[in-house]
Amino acid sequence: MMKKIFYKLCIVLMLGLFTGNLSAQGFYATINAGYGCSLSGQNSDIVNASGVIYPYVFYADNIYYPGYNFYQSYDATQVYLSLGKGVSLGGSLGYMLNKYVGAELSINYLLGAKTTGTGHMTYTGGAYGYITTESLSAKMLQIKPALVFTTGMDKINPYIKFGVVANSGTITHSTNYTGDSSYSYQEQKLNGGIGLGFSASLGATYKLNKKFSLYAELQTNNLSFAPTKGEIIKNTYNGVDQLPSMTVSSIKTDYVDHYTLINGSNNSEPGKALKVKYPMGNVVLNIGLKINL
Amino acid sequence: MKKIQLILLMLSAISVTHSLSAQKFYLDFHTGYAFRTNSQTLSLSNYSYVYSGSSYIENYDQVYVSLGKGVNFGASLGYMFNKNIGAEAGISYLIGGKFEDNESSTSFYTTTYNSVQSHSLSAKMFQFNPAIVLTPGFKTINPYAKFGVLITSGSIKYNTYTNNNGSSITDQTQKLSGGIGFGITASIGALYTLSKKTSLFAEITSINAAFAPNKGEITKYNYNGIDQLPTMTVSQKEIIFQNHYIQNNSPSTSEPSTALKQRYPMSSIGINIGLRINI
Repeated sequence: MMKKIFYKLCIVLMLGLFTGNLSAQGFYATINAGYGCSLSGQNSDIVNASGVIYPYVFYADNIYYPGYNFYQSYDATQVYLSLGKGVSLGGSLGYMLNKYVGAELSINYLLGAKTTGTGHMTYTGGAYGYITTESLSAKMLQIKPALVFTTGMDKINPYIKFGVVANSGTITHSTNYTGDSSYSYQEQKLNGGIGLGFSASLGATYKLNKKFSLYAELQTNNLSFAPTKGEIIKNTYNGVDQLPSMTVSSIKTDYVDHYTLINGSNNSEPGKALKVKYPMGNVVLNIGLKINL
Repeated sequence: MKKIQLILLMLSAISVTHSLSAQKFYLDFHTGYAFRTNSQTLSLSNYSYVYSGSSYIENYDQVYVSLGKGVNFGASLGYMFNKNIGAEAGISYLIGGKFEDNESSTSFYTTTYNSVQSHSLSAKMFQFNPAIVLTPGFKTINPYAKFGVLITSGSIKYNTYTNNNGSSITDQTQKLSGGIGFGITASIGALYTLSKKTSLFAEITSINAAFAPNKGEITKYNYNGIDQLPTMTVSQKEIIFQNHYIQNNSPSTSEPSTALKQRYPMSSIGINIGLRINI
């Protein structure tokens, strides 16, 4: 039922595209730059936190669990993550089927900004505790085929674009720990796979002359990205490289939608984990130059 | 007589031409179904563990969530400034689809032991959607595009069920509500003119949004079939979600507990069909 409606809609749209004023047909190219703010950002493990913790807590079995903190006080601030935040550079090639409707293909490079969370804990009595800093950022190549709808006005011509976006690249995840007697740093690269989503823009061109126009647009990208591979590329403890002593399974990870383990994992192969989708949603303010070819 | 007919015909033509190029209000009613986009990996995943004494097998399955998935219906009031540009304000109601997971642990060693934990998550949201409309203004089949913002509010239902080998069974439902989510929407579609007054339309709509409820309440908590709500403290039942909070080591049990806000993905791509009436 849904497929039928979808196909009918496509046919109706295609009929609409080729009907009407054909006098404004022509190729054009654009170059643009902009900055994207996060939109539909999500929670991750990253938060800004500070607190006072009891330094040594023993359970009844007399074992200290360093991963568990018992807070005297805790101050937390949420950090919303969307890796779509950052500088976007790109260009496109388009063709106007008539004065009102066109199609274009654009390529963008996203130089993602860092999202950082810091944890600062001190021990009861004011003794030094530890500081952790965790950050995530992405560098992505994005391809966006889109339909273009314009009002066909002469000097200032508003338009809306609607299309899909395919996205691939690398996410960098770093963790820094500085304690009272030790410090460590780890950096992981996450890549592989393609994120798919939808992209739309609202903007207007300002005609400079027959050949050139300036434009400004608000673009939204509705997508996420789930890398298929992860690799720890740096791991130091008190300045000493830990990578040589790590197993393949702890350095490399294959991310999949489904996996089965029989009697645990094999240390000589990349570890397996469920894919994690990172939000890439953003709203970008782009400015650019349009050249009629 | 022929002259009169000719004049009437000309007037009709002028009237139709005028109606296509002039300002006008319209009302539409629509319904549709949306699929998830920009989905996220929340705490839901399918997991099974089977232990036979000499070996064990674990199965993992990811569950991607966007609470924007589901059926929606609504209406819009629009105004065309000219034949190419208009603006509209739409209201719709989303009956969100359910996302579920299941975690089970089974042991066949000496005695058979089985424990199950499952979760489900769904949303019901009101959505307000003002948008700008661009269209070439064709007569019979008229393509259009919309771009606008989304303001959404409603509630999320989160259910947890556990069965620990039949000896302890809990069934808990939490309602998360309050707060407003924002996003951006865009659509492309086409109108098919039925008459001067009415048109059918079909459109594809992309919603890029998230929603962070600011309070939560446990509305159901049964343990082995017995209601536990009367014995629970306020802090166990109610929770306030904040972007920032400070907590000491002895929070009051007579007040709602506090936690950091959790954003839930509400993004979707959907197909809507509807009827437009020119007013």
